[in-house]
Amino acid sequence: MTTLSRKITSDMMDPTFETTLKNRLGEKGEKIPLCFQCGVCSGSCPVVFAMDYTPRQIMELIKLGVKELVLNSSTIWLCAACYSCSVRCPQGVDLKQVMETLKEIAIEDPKYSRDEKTFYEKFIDVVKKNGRMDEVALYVKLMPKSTVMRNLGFGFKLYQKGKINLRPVRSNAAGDVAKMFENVLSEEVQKQ
Amino acid sequence: MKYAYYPGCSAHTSGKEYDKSFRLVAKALDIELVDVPDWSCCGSHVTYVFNPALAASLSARNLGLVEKIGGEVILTTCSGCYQTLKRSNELLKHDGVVQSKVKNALEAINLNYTGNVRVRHALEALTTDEALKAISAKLTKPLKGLKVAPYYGCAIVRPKFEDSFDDPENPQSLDRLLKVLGAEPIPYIDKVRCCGGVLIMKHEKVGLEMVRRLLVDAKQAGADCIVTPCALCHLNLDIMQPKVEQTFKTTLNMPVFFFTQLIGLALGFPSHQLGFDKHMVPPISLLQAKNL
Ligand code: SF4
Ligand code: SF4
Repeated sequence: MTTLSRKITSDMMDPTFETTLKNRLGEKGEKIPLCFQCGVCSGSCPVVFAMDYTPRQIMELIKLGVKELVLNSSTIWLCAACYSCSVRCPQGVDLKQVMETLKEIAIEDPKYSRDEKTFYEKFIDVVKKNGRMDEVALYVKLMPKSTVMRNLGFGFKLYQKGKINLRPVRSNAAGDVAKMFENVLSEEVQKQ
Repeated sequence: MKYAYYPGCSAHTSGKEYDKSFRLVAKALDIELVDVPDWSCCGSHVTYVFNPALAASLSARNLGLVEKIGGEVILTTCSGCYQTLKRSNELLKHDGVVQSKVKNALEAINLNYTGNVRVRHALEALTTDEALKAISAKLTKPLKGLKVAPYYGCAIVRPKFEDSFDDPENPQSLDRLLKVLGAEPIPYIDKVRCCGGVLIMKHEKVGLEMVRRLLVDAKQAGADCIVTPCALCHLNLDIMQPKVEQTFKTTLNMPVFFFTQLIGLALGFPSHQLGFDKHMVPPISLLQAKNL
């Protein structure tokens, strides 16, 4: 965790950031200004030990408009979407939804999305292609090359236990799923 | 009782024994399951990050198929699917833009969804008063002496939907079920603490630490094993357990059951039918020690 004593410089700021976020969140965005920095979210977060900024600090940075620190934080990617913060926030802030929207914004802008995007892209690719997910195959696919040798024994055990499918798990409806992808995504391209 | 059953993707990958044991138990309790024909991925919260309208469309395809076969309820064993399908239903009710995009996407595959299929979890269906009574009447092998940490995870209790069946902070359905089965539910502070979910894929060290804590806490609370209604939690707690032991140089040896397996055991099904051989942490010696 980082303390916020770090100097915030003007080039990190975007005065429109809070408003942009609020608009994207629709009705839920209206709650953002109500955050009174009580820290219940940070106290409830099971991943806070690994984040560079706590969920409460993210709320503070949003209000200060420090877009750079928010979108470059590890916090938004480490959020496991568990809703602990959201169900407990005394001010009704759906912080899980805030984190998800921050991920969305970061994924759209190559400046922020870093390598984190690959997980989302690979996940979506599998669904698009097969109509279904195979989380064990995805786990193996995402394994960094440097650790493959170390994980051979583990991989073999997974195979022995029938957790690894040698053929891709495909839904009969893979064609329909691909059509829906095309339909939803092409409409968005036309709109832009 | 008859339900449209949505197994979810993990039923064919990491959670085969969940699907198998659920079907077995449902049959024994005279619950008829009709598989949603040609079901596909619900979208999951990962697609929601990428594109909410796409995620809702993926959900709506499955919900629309239930309507098509005349069903009113979709029953799923997967907590992730449960949460996503409920979320999509809610979004479709409140968001006009998403609604029209989903309508278009479904039209492209000649399908329609009016938004009226109710999403229920298998744990919800098997812990109603009526179901618990039926289980109790058919019990042949009470799980006497088995100390179990009930681990609910997050997606089954959070967020709080209008028709959620259990409490987001201190749920009781699994605890109640364990008592009916004759087992001893161990008070467990982590019962709704997140296991890290898909974090394990891209941030393995963080994920393993989250899992370590859940396993150690259960052990320290005096549990012999853990029970869960979530396929992803089971993946993290069971499949990743050898990795946790390796990374933190510790021995945990904590079997993790799906709740349907424990029901099956108490109803007298032999362990080979319940898929215990698929577990990374074999529960057989524990069950033998307890004469189960
Ligand atoms: S719990 Fe709510 S009000 Fe408190 S700091 Fe977090 S977001 Fe703000
Ligand atoms: S939803 Fe994200 S930020 Fe909120 S408590 Fe869970 S992991 Fe932490």
